[in-house]
Amino acid sequence: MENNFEDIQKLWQAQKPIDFDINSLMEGLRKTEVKQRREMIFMMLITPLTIGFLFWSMPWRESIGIAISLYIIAFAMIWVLGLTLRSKVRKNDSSERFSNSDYLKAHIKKLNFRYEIARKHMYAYTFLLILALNISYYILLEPLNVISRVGIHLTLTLAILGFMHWQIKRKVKKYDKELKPMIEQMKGMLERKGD
Amino acid sequence: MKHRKDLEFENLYKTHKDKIFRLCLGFVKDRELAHDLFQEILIKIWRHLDSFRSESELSTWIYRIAYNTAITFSAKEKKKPEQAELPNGMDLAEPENNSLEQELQIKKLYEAISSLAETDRVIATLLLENTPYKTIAEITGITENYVAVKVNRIKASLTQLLNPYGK
Repeated sequence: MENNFEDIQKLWQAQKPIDFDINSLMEGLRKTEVKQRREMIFMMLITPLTIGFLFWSMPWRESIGIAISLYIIAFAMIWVLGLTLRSKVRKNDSSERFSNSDYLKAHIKKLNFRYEIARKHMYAYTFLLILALNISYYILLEPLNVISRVGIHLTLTLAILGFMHWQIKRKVKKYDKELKPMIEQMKGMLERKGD
Repeated sequence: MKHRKDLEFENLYKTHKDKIFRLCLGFVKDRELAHDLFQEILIKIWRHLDSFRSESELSTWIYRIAYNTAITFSAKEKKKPEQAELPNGMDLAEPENNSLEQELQIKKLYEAISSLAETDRVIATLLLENTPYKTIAEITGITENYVAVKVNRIKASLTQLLNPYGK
């Protein structure tokens, strides 16, 4: 068997790729790196900019209610940004440190976390958003009569809830299609390691 | 003038490209997909190069990245992999100067390897590169003794599947 296996090894090691231009390859990798860095900077900037714009454009100094509302929105946005950064755009995926088993476990955990964000945390985000907007509207709509105010509050709440629920369902459906089979397959790989 | 990272990557690429290439073909049959996997591994090596601290052998470090990328790549094969902006015409080569019989043997070998379970595939390809058991254990995360057990099974299975030159 050993002789045969040595033949197989020779056959295997005879396979070589063509040498391609390493400089063009590195140039390509550098471009990708710059592009990814730019995307990361954009993501890191867009949230503080939006929060800054909201504080700049809203009369938060004149009303404690509007100030609370903006603080809630700012908290919710930073929280979601933090979750996104944790789950998706982290540069280091530890593939250089982990063994196959640990890497698979870490990867499954990471994918499950993405699922969890869509299924649980986005509803909490929706709740905070609705709460913040209703506080602001409560103050801004003060001059109107009660029926109009209740009507606007209800419409606003239902519209945001409906839209976010639709978005979340869409995301979960997408994950069911893409992430679920990957998670199952990776779990299968882990189970088969003991075979 | 080239940066230190460029020189390190160039050196590493020259030394290890053949092994990485063979690993890709061992994990995905389709040459186009093998190209994507090869690319994804190079991106990760490039990305992590600054974090290499010589705590392990460079080859073990590269294998870890390569195999971890390969196993998750095979799980997400249908999803579009991470793409770098690489120049056109960077195709992986067809094996050079092979006889028809050798070509057939190689084809059979790839088929035999891809019929194995993922961990066995990792072990098989490492074994074919004469990798020590200790390194295989480090990469796969199973004990050295268990690697030895699996190696015997894999050797027998590959030899039986291929039966090279009718021996």
